[in-house]
Amino acid sequence: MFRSSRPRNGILSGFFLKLYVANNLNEMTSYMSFPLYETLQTQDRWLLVFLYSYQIYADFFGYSAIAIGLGLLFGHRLPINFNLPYISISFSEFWTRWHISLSTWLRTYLYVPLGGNRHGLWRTYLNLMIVMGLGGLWHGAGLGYLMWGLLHGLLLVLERPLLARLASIDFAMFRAARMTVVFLCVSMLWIFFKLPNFDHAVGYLTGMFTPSTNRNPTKLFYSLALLYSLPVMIQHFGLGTLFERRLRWAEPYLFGSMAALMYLEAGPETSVIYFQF
Amino acid sequence: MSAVRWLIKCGAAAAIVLIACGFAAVRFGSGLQMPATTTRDGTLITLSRYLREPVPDIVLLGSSITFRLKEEYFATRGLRNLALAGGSPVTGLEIVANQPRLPQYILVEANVVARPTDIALVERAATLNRFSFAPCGRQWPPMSSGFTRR
Repeated sequence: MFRSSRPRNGILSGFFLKLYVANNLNEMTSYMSFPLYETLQTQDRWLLVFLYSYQIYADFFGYSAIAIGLGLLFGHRLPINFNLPYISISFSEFWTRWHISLSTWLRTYLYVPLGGNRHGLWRTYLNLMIVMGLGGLWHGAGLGYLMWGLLHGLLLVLERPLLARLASIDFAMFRAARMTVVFLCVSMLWIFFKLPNFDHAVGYLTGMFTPSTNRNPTKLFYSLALLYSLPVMIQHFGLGTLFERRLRWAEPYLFGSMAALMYLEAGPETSVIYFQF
Repeated sequence: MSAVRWLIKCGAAAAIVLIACGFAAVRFGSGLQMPATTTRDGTLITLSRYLREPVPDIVLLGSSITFRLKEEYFATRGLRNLALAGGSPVTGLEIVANQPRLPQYILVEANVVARPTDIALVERAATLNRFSFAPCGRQWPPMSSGFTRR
């Protein structure tokens, strides 16, 4: 549904995800900033982490889809940058689906020249940590970004010896559990993105595991949170593929409704998150 | 499917959704209003309500202090509170003055009279006057959403 194989699809779906999903979710996730997060209840801290996960995806996917759509209008076929990253069942798979242009660059120009996996197990682990650490620093020269990269590297290292064994267990529930774990970990690590100041990020994380004592906490509209997150969930649950195949006839109506919705319900204007990197 | 046919279907779907929302807004009014989640949202709701309803006998203008006075506190029925939280009574005065009919009494909170007029809000009020046929999701123009403090 949000694939950008045609210019119109890319541009419309990109603007929809940016204006309707990302900009509206940004209103909520702004409460993750320091010191506003001190007013949040524990369960809302958790929810905001997931909402930020949807927001950063919608924001960056939207930006990439618009670029791909505009590129197609001028005859340039740009590579896709996202391929449903939140359905990944391993961290290594996540990095083949998220920000594909950057992860491809890191693999080609850092991981492979460092020796990749050709010099033994421990050297492979070291290479993964170096590449992900530098990948983190690519986003900004801060301890938070470095930690974000290194923690992703650590997750890649930890899962690597288990991958073959995990792949041999192939039933739906287990795959769903793996998907949940990957989504949970990736979402929690976005905190270092949202709060580049390392102390603030640790403060937020600590609050996620501490009962809130604030008697006048920020109120969060759960119904609105669901409403704005729904497009990302629908896309990831495979309804997009359904519209590409069996419901292809309904595609123009869907895009028309999306255009109306983003006109009626666009969130306040905010710049694209990745503009800062 | 040709590009023109695709575009016609897409446009028709968008138009149907917009018209349906417009009719729903006329039919259900503020029942379809999204929750006010920022001060600006609250201001636009107050403003939209004042412009939509008949001209009151008494109008209260002011800042957040007056904003907290509920209309139900007063025995007089024809009273509207057009105080703007975070705003100035001068903005309220300008909006009221731009209407074709004026209330009988205008009570002004003198606390922050020096605060300048919010020109953007006065212009929005003029737009709201023109667009009484508003989309159902939000009062015209679109408002922000998210959180409020309890």
